[in-house]
Amino acid sequence: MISLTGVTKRYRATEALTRLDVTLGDAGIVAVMGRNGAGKSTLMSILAGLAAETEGSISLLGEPLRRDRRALRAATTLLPQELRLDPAVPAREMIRYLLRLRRRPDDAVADLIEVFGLTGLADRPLGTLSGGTRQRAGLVYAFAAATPVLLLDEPTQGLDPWERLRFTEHVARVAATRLIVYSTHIVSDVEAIAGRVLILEGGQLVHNGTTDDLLARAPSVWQIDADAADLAELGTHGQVSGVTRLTDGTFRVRRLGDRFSDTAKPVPPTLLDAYIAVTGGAQ
Amino acid sequence: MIAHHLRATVQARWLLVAAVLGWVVWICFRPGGTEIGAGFGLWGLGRLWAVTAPILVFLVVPLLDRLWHPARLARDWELAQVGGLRAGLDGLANFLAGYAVYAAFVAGLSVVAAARMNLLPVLLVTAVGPLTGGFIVLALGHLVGVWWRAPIARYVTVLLLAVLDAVNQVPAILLSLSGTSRQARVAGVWEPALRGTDPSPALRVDQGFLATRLGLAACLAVLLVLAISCRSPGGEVRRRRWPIRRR
Repeated sequence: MISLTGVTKRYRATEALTRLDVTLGDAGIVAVMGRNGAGKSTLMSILAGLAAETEGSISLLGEPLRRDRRALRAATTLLPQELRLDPAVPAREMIRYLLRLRRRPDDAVADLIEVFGLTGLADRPLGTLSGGTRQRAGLVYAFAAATPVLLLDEPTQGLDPWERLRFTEHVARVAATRLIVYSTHIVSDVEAIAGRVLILEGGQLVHNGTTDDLLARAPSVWQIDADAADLAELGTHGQVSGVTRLTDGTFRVRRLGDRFSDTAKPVPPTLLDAYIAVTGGAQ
Repeated sequence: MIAHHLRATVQARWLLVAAVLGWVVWICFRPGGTEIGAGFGLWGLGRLWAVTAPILVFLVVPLLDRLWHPARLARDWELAQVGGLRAGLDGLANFLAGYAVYAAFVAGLSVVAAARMNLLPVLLVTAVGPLTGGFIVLALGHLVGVWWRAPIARYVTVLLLAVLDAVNQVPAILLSLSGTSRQARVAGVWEPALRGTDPSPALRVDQGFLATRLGLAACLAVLLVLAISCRSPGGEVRRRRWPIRRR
């Protein structure tokens, strides 16, 4: 569907993306992960045709794109991370307006409003709705646009667990026929639905493969129970991938790498361990 | 699209109602319309501005600022991933929404004036001139604001509109807001009290006047679409003015 070859994006002195080579298929779910500032939103903007690469090339359906990105913009719908909408306008009206602007049909709006639990809220001004509800209104727009590619930039931000579940179910259903690229920090979401994971670190692609491929890159993981005083010490000599507070006030710590103590027990790696290991190089 | 943009004028619409009521009070207080003519005097001028100034400050300026907010429009266009002609047409719809509020104000005023003077042809003077002339001045100001990205242009437009409307004696056909009333005044029948002479024969729309303004209004609408198209994302992403999030 979309291919990026050697794509680099610079903002003045800052290099947001460096020589990115990615090919995205026609359907399925691709999760884009990475720490803050890793280049996820820049990648999303380029895929949406809203930003131009500084170097490299992009092709859509095998056709190389020049400076004109209208075809890319028509094929994609980007739901940005920061959804800034006119607070005076009701959600339903805003969604319809955006769809009319794009010359997209609005037949699916009523159904999607129900799917995302906005019935009864859709006719209230956006300024009176909570952040999570506004985010759901954005999701209704993105899915109603029904473009072949959906680009969702941290779509579950601000959603409660029930809303996230509803979103995950819907995404999984839609991904059967469309390509959904979404950036997230939430590894459990990726584990649940993503068929493929791209991980960016400092603007570079450090992983491009399935969740199983990512899991295979996880190093040995050790678990140890420690008190608060030992926590900082554990972090200085290795990568800690998880800390859980126990009922007795101590902490159960997961650490990556070599065995560091006789009391440390080996445990099976998780996707989060693998993600921490892959993106931990710059720490 | 126009209906969508008009939602942004909730505040302005209330102000519009208040403004029309203000005008009604003023017109009823002293019959004779809104024109500055012989016998109008400093007292009349003062009263005119006492009503006009709050209308401009509390109606037109907030209207322009709220409704024609370029940052809001740019955000919506970015979210919808549109630019070029589509953004241009939406920009025109947005302008027309603002103009519709202005036109409603003018129409309300005209109806009150005509009813008060029991003279239907007065509508030609108080409606046709300000409607076409107002469109031209507002569109010009909008165009300047879009092209030079200078919000101050919109406020200068308001002032220009106010001055032209109050003076109403600019000889250039391009700028005169009420050519019809100028004809009436030249004919010597347009006085504050409208007594003694039947002004009906003079109160007619000059075909040349109307054709010039309608043509100019159409040209300005096209220019507006083109200007917004060029200033919006368009088909070329290399333009740095496209609101790219820097990350």
